Amino acid sequence: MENLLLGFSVVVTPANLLYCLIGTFLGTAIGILPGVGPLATIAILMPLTVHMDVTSALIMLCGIYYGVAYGGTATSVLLRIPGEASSVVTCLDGYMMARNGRAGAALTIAAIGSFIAGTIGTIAISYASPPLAKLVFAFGPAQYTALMLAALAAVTYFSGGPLLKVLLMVGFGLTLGCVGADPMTLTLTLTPRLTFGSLDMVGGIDLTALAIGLFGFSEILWMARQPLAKLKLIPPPKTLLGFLPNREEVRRSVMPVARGTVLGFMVGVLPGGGAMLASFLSYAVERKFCRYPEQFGKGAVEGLAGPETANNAGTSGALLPLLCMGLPANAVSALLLTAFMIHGVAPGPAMVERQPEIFWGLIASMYIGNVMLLVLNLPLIGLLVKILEVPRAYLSPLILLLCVIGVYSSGGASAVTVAVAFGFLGYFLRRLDFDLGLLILAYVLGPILERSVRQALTISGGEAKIFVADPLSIGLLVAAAVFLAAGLMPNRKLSLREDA
Amino acid sequence: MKRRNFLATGGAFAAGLGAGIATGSNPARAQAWPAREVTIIVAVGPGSSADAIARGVAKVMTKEIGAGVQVKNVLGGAGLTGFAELAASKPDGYTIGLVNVGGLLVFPHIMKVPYTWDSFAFLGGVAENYYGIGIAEASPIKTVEDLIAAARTRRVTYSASAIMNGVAMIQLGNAAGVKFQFVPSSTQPEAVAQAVGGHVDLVLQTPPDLVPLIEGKKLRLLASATGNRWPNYPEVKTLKELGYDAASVVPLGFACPAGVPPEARAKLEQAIAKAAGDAELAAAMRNLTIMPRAMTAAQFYQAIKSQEATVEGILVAASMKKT
Repeated sequence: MENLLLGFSVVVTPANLLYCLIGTFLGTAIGILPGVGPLATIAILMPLTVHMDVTSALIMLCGIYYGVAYGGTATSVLLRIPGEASSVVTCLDGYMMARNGRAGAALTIAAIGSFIAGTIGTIAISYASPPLAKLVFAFGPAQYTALMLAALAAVTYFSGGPLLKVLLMVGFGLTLGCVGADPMTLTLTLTPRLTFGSLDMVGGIDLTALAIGLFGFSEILWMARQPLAKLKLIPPPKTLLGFLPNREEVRRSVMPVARGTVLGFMVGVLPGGGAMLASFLSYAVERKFCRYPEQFGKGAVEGLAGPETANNAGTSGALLPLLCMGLPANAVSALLLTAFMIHGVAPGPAMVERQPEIFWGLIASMYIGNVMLLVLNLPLIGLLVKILEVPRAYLSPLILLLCVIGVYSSGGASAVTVAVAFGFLGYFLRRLDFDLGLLILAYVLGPILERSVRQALTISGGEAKIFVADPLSIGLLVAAAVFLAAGLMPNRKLSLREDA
Repeated sequence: MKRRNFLATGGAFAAGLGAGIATGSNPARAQAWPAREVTIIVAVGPGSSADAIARGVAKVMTKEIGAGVQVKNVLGGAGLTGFAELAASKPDGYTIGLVNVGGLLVFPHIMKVPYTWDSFAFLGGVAENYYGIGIAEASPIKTVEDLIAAARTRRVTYSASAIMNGVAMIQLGNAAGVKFQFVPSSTQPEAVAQAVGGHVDLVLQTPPDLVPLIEGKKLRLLASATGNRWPNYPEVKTLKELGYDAASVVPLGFACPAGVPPEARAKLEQAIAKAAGDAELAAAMRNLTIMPRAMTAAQFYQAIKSQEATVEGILVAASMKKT
């Protein structure tokens, strides 16, 4: 507590509060813009911070980082375009809520859920770091292999729809994940796979291009096909009260938010999956726990509240290994590590000990930053919802432009081609009722799975018993087997519930 | 990133305009290099330490040659796209690039690439990475002798996020008559975490990756795997000082496409040499724990070329070399 007070004493100066506000505001803004991610923004701003005070600079850069998960929701809910990769699942039920006239409620729930997750995540970093830190080191290649199998099996099991369609999407996603240099070989051999001789494809398919293509471009095609008369949405309510979720929506959000926070944080701490995996797992879990599974995909509150909370919790979780061990869990926090180093600060236990004002200042700024984000985002909702009133004829080209800029900044001209191709593919897959979220998840997890298997076998010299050498791997493998077995059986439970 | 490129291009455009006016009034200078801005192609993203160095060099060069020097990040293809773009650019002295060591030593052995060594003219080096052998604090291996003894009785593994990091381990193994197994990691943190967790025995990375864990008492620095000791741990010896001819050397420097007119090339070499000796840039490098090291064009070429056989040997041993 004393430490935290020290932290607040560092942050509560006009300058630091201003930098915190700038950071969180920028984070929200780039979260809203599809394709423009925290990676590019932090990279651009980092050189500008060199002459700033260390703590102020870090407060601002970290503010951008966790602010993004707030802003990412808006375009997913309103336009079915993921603002960030971690908001992909929100395109499913969040968007349907908007179609049902509940856009304001959806955004409010997401903002409050994000606030709860961000704050609890910060509390966890303040007080529960040492045991959680151990978790990171417990995961080696064998354990990751088991974790990835369990995650894939769980999502396959939980996702609705005919088994064959689910497996096809997972298989397709895994195949797309193979495109590019063989994952062991980015470091060793760089054997290109499925690139058909194209040098642009050596780095693999760009995730932003894939997500925006499948969801954003396909939605524009979808809208273009609808007769204009059918495009009339249920208008969002005009009064302030109408933006607030009603009593039932609040009641149905409580448990998903609680589960999303815990699940998201745990997944976020582990390198690899991060906020995106957190949101997918939460969606899968909520579909299972929900008393109205038939509403999933049609605007179930649970399908929005859980994942939107989980991705924020995952974002906070990923900061834990960085701050407490100097070990970034994803690309953005790796960039934050560089920012620390440029300022001559090596994050980790040494920083907590020798420069407590930086560590606790940062923690305190995260409490304040989450409040700022809530205050920033709630009034924005009224403004953002107005987007839905813009005639689609004007809106569609604008969305298209934003998407193209975002994709281009992420992967260049070849990425735009990829996004357009996946836009058409996504359109046809949607018409055939395939689950595009599964495809993206498999695309993200596949390479991690493959790399882990191959690393494990390299370590053991080809001995398969490394995969069952410790209780953690065995437990996860058993979980994977159970989910797979349950998934392969006809899903009676769901249909029974529908009858009841 | 995009926005900055716009800004950079805007600035360069203004600079070009100014140069145009100047040459218009003085036709004799029209032939002189530089008549417009110079672009440095960097095949890694903004924010990385290599990018930071390129920007520092650009700043010094701008003063030195009297024309704008801008950095252009060309990403994609695991660094291959930018390197290929450098090779394909016009040899007029207005495009140079940060040399991608992997692009010269690794890629050409694995796949068909649109360039050879002869596609480039080297301009000089400014820095070199430090590498070190990190080992879990709890490991019973306390010295390099312990390590070699362990490798005689069991399989000893090391993680690294790039093949170049591990060159010292191959050489150490050859010198001691043992074998260390390379386990490639996709990212630096992954490589480090695997060593801390005891999933592999060792990790070969640069100071920014290892220092937080060493300070946090999770890792020990067993030896410096570079020609010099680490500035932050001057008591830890290099492998060479311990009697093994082993070092991972990744020099950072610049090249232009082959065929640049000699006078332009001479001026570029001179400007890079000036940057290599710049005190402010050296201080920035030390913050990032990168070793400032001035190399002439010939020295820089030699520093990379001398490793070709070793790297090729690693690739052949891993049976990854294309046939």
